[in-house]
Amino acid sequence: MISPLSGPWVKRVLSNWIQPAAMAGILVFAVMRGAENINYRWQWYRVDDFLFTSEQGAWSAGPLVQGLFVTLEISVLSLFLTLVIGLAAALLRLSSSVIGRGLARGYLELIRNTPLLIQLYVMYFVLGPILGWGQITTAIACLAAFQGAYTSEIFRAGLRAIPRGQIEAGDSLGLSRIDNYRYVILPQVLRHMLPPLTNEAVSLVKNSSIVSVIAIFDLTTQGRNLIADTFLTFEIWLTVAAIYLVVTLALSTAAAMAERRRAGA
Amino acid sequence: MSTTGHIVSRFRPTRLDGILLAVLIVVAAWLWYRSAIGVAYRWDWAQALSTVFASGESGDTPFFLTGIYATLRLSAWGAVLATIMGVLIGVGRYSGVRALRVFCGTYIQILRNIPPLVFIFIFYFFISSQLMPLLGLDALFNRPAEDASGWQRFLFGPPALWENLISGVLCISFISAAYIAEVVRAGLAAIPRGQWEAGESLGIPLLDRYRFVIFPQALARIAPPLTGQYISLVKDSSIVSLISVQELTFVGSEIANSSGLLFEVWLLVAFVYFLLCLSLSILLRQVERRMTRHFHQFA
Amino acid sequence: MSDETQPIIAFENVSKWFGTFQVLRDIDLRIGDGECIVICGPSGSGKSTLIRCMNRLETHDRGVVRVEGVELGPGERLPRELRGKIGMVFQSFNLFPHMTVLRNLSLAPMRNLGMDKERAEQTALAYLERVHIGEQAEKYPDQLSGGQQQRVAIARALCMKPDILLFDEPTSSLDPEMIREVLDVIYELTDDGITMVCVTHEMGFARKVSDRVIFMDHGEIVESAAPDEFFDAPREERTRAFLNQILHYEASA
Repeated sequence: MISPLSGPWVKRVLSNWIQPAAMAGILVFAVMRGAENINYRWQWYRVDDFLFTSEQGAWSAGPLVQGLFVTLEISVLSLFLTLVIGLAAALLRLSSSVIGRGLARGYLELIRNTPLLIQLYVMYFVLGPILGWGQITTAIACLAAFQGAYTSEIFRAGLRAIPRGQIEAGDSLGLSRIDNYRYVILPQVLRHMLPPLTNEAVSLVKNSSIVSVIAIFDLTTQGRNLIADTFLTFEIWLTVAAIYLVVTLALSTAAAMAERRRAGA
Repeated sequence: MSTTGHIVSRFRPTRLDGILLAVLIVVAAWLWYRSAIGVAYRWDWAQALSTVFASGESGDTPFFLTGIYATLRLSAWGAVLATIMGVLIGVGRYSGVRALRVFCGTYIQILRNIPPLVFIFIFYFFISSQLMPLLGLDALFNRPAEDASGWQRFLFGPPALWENLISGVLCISFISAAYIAEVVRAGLAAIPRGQWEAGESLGIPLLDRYRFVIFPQALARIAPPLTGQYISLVKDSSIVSLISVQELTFVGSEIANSSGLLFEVWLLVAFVYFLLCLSLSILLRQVERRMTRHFHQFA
Repeated sequence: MSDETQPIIAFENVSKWFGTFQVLRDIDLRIGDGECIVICGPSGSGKSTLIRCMNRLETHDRGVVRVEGVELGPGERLPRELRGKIGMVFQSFNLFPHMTVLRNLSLAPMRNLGMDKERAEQTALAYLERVHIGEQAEKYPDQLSGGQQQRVAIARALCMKPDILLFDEPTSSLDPEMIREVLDVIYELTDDGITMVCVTHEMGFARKVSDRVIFMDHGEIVESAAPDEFFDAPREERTRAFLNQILHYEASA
C-alpha cells in the first residue's frame, strides 16, 4: 500500500542488501544451531583479532584485512590488464586481418573451453617457469587472460554499437585513425560499457580467490591458514564469505546506480 | 542495419597481418629459447603419454581415465541436480509467498557474489560434518562394494568413491543452481504479462499455465544461456579437486607430481578439458536447435 | 435492466490505489444478468482497472465486489469455481504465439473443464465458425491479421462458455479497416444473452449494442445511462465535454 519508504533508492538498498542480509542471518543462525548439536563451540569473539589488532591504542590490520588488501591489489591490477587484453582481442576480431581474427578467435575458444583452475596451473607450472614469472605476476596474468576473453565480448558489442557515421565524421574532419579512436570512438564506447565493466570487476574479485592455490596470501589463503591454526572453521569461512560479499555487492550496487543514472540521463 | 557495420574495416590487411605474423614468430622463438635454453626443460611426450595411459598393476582402468570418467559423472549428475534446483529457485522468485521469493532471491544473490572456492570450502565442511550423517548417507555408502551392480558402477563409478562423488555433485550443483535460477528468472521475466493474464482469465490451472503457456515460450529464451551454464559447470567442476574429489584435475595433479612431467601432464589435462567443453558446446548447440525448432518461431 | 433482481456483478464503495495514486474512487455499480454495458472515458480514468477487478486480474483495496453471488474482499483472488467463467478479451489479443489457433482454443477446456481432446476441438471449431475464421484453425497467431487474431481471442474466451465476457479496448490496437469485423462479431454475441462489459471508444458501436453506457473520469463513475439518453441528452458537463471531443469529427462530417 502507500508507504513513505518507497523511493527507488530505498527499494534498491532494501532488495540488494537488507532482505538478503536478513535471510543470510537466519541461515547462519540455523547453521549455528545445527553446529551446536554436534558440539561445535562457537567462538566469534576471537574473530575480531583476525580483522584488526590493536597494540597500545594503535590499530593495525589483522590477517584477514591484510588478505583483503592483497585480493583488491590483484583484482585492480588484473582489471587494468583485462581491459588492455579485452580491447586488443575485440579490435583484432573486428579487424580485416585474417591472422588477427584467427588469433583472437583461438584465444577466446581456448579460454572459454578450459577451467580457470587449469589455466592457472598451466601458467604456474608451465608458462611461469619458462618466462621466469613469480607468483603474483602469474596470478595477475592468469586472471587477466581469463577475464579478458569475456570482456572482449563486451568491447566488441560496444564497438559495434557505435554508428558508422561517427567514424566517417572523424575521418572526414581529417583526424588520424588513432586520434579518431582516442577522441571519438573510445569515449563513446566506454560510456556505454561502464555498467557491464563493473560486473567484470565483480567477477575478477570473485575469481581472484582461486589464486590461493598458488600460495598467494590473499583473503582466501589467510582464511585457510587461520583455520589450520585455530580450527574456527565456520567462524572464519563465514567471515571471509561476508567480506567478499560486501565487496562484490558494493560493486554491483554501484553498477546498478551507474546504469540508472545513464538511463535517467 | 547500417549502424552495425564493422568499424575497424579500414586496417589494410597486409600491414596488420605482417606485424602480427612477426610478433607471433618472435614470441614463439622466445618461448622456445626460454624453455630449451633458459630453464633447460627436457620435453618427453612419449614418457608422459605412457605414464598417463598406463594401467595399474592389476590391469584396471588407467588412473588418468578414471579421472576423465569421474569428471563426466560429476558434470552429468551436477547438471541434473542443478537444473532441478535452478528451475525451482527461478520459479520461486515468482512465488506468491513473499518469504519464498526473498529466500530464492537471496540464494541467487549470495551464491553469485561469493567466490565458488570459498563456498566449496564452507559447504564441504558442512556436508561432511552434518549433511551426510543427517541424511544417513554415510551408512548407505559404507555398504560392501560387491553389492554394486554393473549399472550402478557405470552411473556412479566405483562404490568406494560414492561419498566422494556426491560431495562433489552437491557442491557444484548448489553453485550452478544459482546461475541457472538467474537464467530461468530472466527467461520468465521476458514473457509478456498478457500471456499470464490470458492463461489466468481462461481459468487454466497454475501448473498447466506454466507447463503449456509459459515454459514453452520461456524455453526458447532460456536455452542459449542455459547451454553456456552447462559448459561453465563442466569447467567449475575442476575446483572440487581442492576438496579431494577424485576427478580429472585431482588425478592430473597427482600424476604430474608423482611423475615430475609437469609441463606435459598439465598441457594434456588442459587439452582434455578443451576437447570436453568444445564437443559439449557443439553437441548442445545441436540439441538446442532441434528443441527450439519444434516451437513455432515467433517475434 | 434488471436492477431489481440479483445483479451478476456488484461493486459497493470500491476503491483502489496504485502506490499513492487512487485509480478507483468509491465505485458503486450493479450489472444485471445478460446486460451489455459499455464503459468509456479518457485514458487513465480507471476503466481498464475497473473491469480487471471483475475477473480479479487486479484486486481492490477497499469495499466489496460481488461476482455471481460470491463476495470478494480486498486482495481476494477469484475462487476456484469461478475460474474461466469470466472471459476476457484483451487489447493486445494475448494469443499464445507457440500454439496453433486450434490449440489456443482447446487448451483451457481440456485443462480446466477436463474435456477430451476430440470434444474440445469440436467446440473450438464451432466457435471459430461463429467468428467466421473456421479455415484458419491450423495456423499460428502471427500468420493472421490483427482483426483475425482478435476474433480468435474472442472465440477462445467463448470456448469456456463464460457467464460474463469482458472486453478491454478490443479494437484499440487494430488497423482501422479491421475494427468493423471485430465489432460485428461482438454484436452477434448479444443474441446469446451473455453478460458483456466492454471498454471502448467506438461510440457508434456503444449506441447500437449496449443496454447502458457508463462514463468514467478520474476513477469515478460520472454518468450511467441508456445509450439514447447518454448520447442525446447527457446530464453531466464532463460527459458533454468528453463526447464533444471524441465525436468532433463525426459531428462535423
